[in-house]
Amino acid sequence: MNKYIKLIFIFVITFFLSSCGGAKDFLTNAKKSGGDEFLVEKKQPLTMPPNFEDIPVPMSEEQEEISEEEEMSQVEIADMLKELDGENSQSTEEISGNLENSILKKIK
Amino acid sequence: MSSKKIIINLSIVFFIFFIDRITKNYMLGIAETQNGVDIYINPFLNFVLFWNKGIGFGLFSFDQLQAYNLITSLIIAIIGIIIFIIYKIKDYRIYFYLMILGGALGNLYDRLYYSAVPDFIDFHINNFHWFIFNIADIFISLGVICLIFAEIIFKKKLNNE
Repeated sequence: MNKYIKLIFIFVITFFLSSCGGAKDFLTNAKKSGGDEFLVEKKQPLTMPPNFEDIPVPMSEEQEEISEEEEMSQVEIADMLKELDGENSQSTEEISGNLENSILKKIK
Repeated sequence: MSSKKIIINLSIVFFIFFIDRITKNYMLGIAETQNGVDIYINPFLNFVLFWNKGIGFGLFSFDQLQAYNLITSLIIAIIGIIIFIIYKIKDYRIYFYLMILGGALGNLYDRLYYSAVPDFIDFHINNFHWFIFNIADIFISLGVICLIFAEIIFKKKLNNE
């Protein structure tokens, strides 16, 4: 009996009086929580684009509105011209058709 | 126990206690100046500061104050028993109990003062890490190992006689 009490007491001493800590928890967590610096992509330094001078210079708001109106009017004019072209082409086709018929009649 | 023996025993206990204190204070000083301790010594040994709120082998590491106080009072009770054994015992095993007492007092001081025990010796082989320990733990472990051997040897001697 005395032997077992001594054994238990020695175990109690080892567990309660020593204070060695959990190495696993500490070391693994510490390394997992930190970011991996090798996974972070290095950003290129800021430089001027190669065709920077070709890009149009931005205008003020008033100028932009005017230019938009101009664009609109240009589009309208273009549409009107297209319509006119269509009519003209139809009329020229009719004329050419009449001419052909008259020539053919004369030949016959 | 004569007064001479008491002085020798006390000096052994305080010697272990102060060695433990000096090393812990040194590590805490490094931790304060360098914002943590992470020192590489050799492929098997690192110094890493870790605060242990529980008992040996990272057991009973609770955040609750009641559990912590209960464990601390248990430790004080065990230290009391050890002092009683030292007072009663008359053979060479007294030195092993003194080693354990010195280390236990070192850890108890930290438990009361910092509410945690600073461990810093990280012994490892490749990726296998042993528990992080301190000088007090070394003395406690040595005392326990010697005590186990002494019990076996002492028992054999008694049986032979």
